[in-house]
Amino acid sequence: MARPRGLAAALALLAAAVAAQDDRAESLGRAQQLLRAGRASEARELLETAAAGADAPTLARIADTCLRGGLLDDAERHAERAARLSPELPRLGLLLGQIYAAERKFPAAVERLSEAVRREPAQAQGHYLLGITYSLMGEKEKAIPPLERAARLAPGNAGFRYYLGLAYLDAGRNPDGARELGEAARLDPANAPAKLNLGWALISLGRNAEASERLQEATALDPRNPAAWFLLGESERRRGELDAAVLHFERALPLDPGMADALFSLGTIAYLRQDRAGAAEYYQRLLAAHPRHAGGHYQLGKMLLGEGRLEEAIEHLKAAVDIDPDRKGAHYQLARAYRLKGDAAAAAREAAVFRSLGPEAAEEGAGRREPLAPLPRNP
Amino acid sequence: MIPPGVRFSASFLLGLACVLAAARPPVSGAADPAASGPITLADRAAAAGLRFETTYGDKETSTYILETTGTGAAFLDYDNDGFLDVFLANGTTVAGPKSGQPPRSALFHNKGDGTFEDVTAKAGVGRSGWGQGVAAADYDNDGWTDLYLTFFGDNVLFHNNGDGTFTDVTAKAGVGVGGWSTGAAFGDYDKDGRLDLYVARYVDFDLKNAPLPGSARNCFYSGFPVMCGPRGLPGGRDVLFHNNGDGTFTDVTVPAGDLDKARYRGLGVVWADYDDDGWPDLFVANDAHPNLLYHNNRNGTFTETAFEAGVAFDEDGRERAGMGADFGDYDNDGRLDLVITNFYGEPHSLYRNQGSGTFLETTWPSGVGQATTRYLGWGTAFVDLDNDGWKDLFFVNGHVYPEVDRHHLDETYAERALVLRNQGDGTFADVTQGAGPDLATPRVGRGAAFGDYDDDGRVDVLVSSVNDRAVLLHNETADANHWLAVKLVGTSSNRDGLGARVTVQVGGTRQVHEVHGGGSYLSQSDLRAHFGLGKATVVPALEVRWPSGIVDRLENVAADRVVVVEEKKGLVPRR
Repeated sequence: MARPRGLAAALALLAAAVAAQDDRAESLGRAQQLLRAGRASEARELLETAAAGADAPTLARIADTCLRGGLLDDAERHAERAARLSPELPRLGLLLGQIYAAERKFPAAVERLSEAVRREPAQAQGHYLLGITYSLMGEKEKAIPPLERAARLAPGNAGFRYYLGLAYLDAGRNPDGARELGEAARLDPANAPAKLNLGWALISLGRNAEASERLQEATALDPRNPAAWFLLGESERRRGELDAAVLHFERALPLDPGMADALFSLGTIAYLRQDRAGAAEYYQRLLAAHPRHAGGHYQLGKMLLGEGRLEEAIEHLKAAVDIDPDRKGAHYQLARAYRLKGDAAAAAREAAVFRSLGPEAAEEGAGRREPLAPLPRNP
Repeated sequence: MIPPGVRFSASFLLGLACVLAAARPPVSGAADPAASGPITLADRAAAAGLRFETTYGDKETSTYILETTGTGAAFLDYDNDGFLDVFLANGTTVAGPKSGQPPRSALFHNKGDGTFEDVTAKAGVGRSGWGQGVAAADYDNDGWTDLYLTFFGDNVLFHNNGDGTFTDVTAKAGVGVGGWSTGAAFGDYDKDGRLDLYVARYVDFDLKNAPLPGSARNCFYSGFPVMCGPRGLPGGRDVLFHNNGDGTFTDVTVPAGDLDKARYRGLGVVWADYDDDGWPDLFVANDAHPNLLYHNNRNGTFTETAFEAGVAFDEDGRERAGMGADFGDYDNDGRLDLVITNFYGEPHSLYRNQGSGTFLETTWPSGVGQATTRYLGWGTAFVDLDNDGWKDLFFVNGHVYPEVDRHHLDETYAERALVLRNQGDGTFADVTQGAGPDLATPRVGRGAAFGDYDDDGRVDVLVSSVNDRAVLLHNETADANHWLAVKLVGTSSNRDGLGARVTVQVGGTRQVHEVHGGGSYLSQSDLRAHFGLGKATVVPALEVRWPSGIVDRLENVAADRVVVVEEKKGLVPRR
C-alpha cells in the first residue's frame, strides 16, 4: 500500500511543486511590473522569495528579470547559482556573459560568451553579444568578426546590422559602416538611430545628398533629437546649401541651447557670408556655454583681426592656443596679428610654432575631407 | 617736365582723329557691371577646324598620379600674321599606344577667318609622351615666338625658325631637365632684356616603383582605393634657368636663392610684379604643400615670402591643393591680386593685394568660395569677358579620380567650368548657368588659355581636357561694350614685353594689366593686354611701363582695335 501512499505523496509533492512554479511565475510577472514602475526593493523581495529553492531554469529566468531591471548584483548571484546547479543549462552562458558585460566585468564576460559561441556556433545571439562586449571594451577591431558572424547567421536582424555598422564606424571603416547601417535602416525603417548614424557615415564619405535624405527621415522619426537636426544641417552645409543648413542648425538649438557644434557652424556660416555681427553673436553664445571651446576663440579672434581689433583678436587667439596648442590656424593668425601690431619678435615666435607643427597628418588621397566630430553613442 | 624715357607718341593725333570722327561723343568710364548683357560662350572648335583629342591616362581608372595632371594649351602667334594660333600639348597612357601613331601635341594655324589648320607636321612640333605644360615666348628676341614644352620625361625647347618651322634646340640650350615638369613660364627676372625660364616640377615619380591604389593610407579616397598621392609622395625640385643671351641657359636654382629647397609639389607658375617695385616676382601653386611666392631681390636672387605675404596657406593655416594661378587686378585699385585653383572641397582661393607686399584672402567675402568649393579646379584667369572694365573669373574644373562616378559621391569626375562675373564691388556672381550649354557641359578640364582668336574684341577660352577633345569657347557675349587690345614689342626690354605693365585710365577707372609668362594651368594665354572699356570709345590715357623702366604714354587711343606699342616708339602699325 505504500505504493499508493507514495503515489499520493508524489502527486501531492507535484501539485505543490506546480503550485510553487505557478507562484514563482506569478512572482516573476509581478516583479517585472514593479521594476518597470521603479519599485526595485519590492521587486527584489519578491524575486528573492521566488528564488528560494528554485531550480536552475527558474533561477536563470529570475536572473534575466534582474538583469532587465538593472539589479545586476542579484542577476549575477542568481545566474551563478543556476550555473552551479546545472552547468550545462542551455543559454546560461549567454546570460552570464550579458550580466558580466553589464557589470563591466569584461574579461569574465568574454570568457563566458566565447564559451557560449564555441558550444553553439550557429546561435547568432552569442556572437552578437560577444561583439558588443568587445565594443564596450573599446576593442574596435575584435568587435567586428563576431558581429559579422552574427549578421551572417541572421542577415534579417536589423539590430545585428546596426551594431555591426557602428563597429565598422568605430574602426574607421566608414564605407562598410554605411553599408550595414543602410541595411539596418532598410530592415527597420523606424530605426531613427540607424538613420542618424547612417547620415553621419554618408557625410564622412562625401555623400551629402544621400545623407541629407536619410537625416530628413531621422528627424521625422525623432524630431526631438538635436544631433539629427545638426547633422542634417551639416549635410546641407557641405552641399553648399547654406540657407537650408542654417534652418536645420536653428532647429537643433531649442532642443539643446548650448549645442556647441550647431553654434559653431552657425557662426561660421555667418562669418563666410560676411555677417560679422551675426557670427560674433553665435561665437559669443558658444563661448558663454563652453568657455574653453578652442574653435570658438579661434574663429572670434580671426574675425576680430579682420576688423582690425588687434588686442581683442590676440586675446581670443591666445586663448585658442592655450586650450589647443596644436591648433595651427590659431598660431598662423597670431603671427599675422603680432605682425600687424608691429611686434616682430612675437610674430616670429608664433610663425616658428606654426611651422614646427609641420604639415598636416597624411590624409587620404589628394583631397581632404572636412573632419566630422563623432556622434555620441550609447550602445 | 617730362621724365626721361617718357614719350607722348603720335598716337595722340591718331586718337584725336578717332574722337573727332566718332558719330557720338565718347563716353568715359567703365560700364556698370549689372548693365552688361549675359556672358555667353559657345564651343566652336569643330566649326573652326580645331579637331584635337587629348589622350591622357586610362579613362576608367587612374592607377597612378601620373594619369591625373592632364595637359596645357597656348594661344600664340607663331607666324606673326597678327592672328592667334593654337598649341595643344598631349599625353599618352601607361600601356602606351596599341597601334598606329602615338598621340602627339599639335600646332594649329589661324587662317584669319575664324578657322584653323593643323600645321604640326610642317612645323615639326608634334611630340609624343607624357606632355604637360606649354610656355610660348620669344626667348632669343628674334621676333618669333618659341615654344617650351614640359613632360614627365625630358622637356623640349623649340626654336621658331621664322618660316613656319621649329627646331629642337633643347640640348644646345640646356633646358631639358628630367623628372616630372609641369608648369613653365618665361620672365625676365634680372631685367637684362632676355627671357629666363622657371620650370615647376611636381612629384619625384618612378612608374616602375610607384605604389598602387589601396596600397597605403594615401591611396584611398572616401574609403575606396584610388591612385596614391600626392600626399605621401616626394616632391620634385623646381628649376630656374637664366638666359645667357647666346641661345643657352644656366640652371641658377641654387644661386638664385636655393629655390624650392623643400621640393614642394609644383604645378601652376606665374610671373608678376606683385609689389609693383618694377621687378618680376614669381608665384608657384603647390599641390598639398604651401604655395611659394618669390620676391625678387633685384640682384639675381629671390626671397620666398609666401607666408609673410599671406598666400602660402588658407586663412586657417592649411596648405591647399594648388593647381593653377593667375595675377590680375580685379578691384581696379592698381594692385595685382591673385587667384588659385584648388581641390574639391576646398574653395578656389582669391587674395586681394593690400599693397605693402601682403594679401588678404577674400575667397569667401567675394563669393568665390561659395561658387567654387564643390569643384576641383585647374586653369583659371582674371579676364574681362563682357568688356565692362572689371575682370571676371574663369575656372576650368575636373576631378582627378574617375572612380568617384562609381561610388555615389556628391562629386563627379567631369565637372563644368565656371564663370564668375565681377560685380564691381569686390564680389563675384556665378553666371555659369546662363553662359550657354557648352559651358555647362561637364568635362575633365585641365589647361586653359585665354585670348581673342578672331579679334572680335571678346576674349575666348581654349580648354584642354583629359581624354576629350579640345574645346574652343568662343565669346559671344552680346553687349555694346568697347575694348582695346595692346600688343607690346620690346626693344630695350625683352621683345614680348613680359613684365611690362599697361595701364589705361578711362573716366574714373584705372585698369592695370601686366603682361606675364605662365599663369592659368600648364598654359600660356595671349600676351596682348586686353581691356574692356564699357561705354568708352576712346582711352584718354594709356601707359606702358616697360621692364627697362622706360614708360610710353599714349593719349586718346581709339577703342575697338588691336594696337601695337613698341618700346620708345609708341603706337606702330600692326603687321
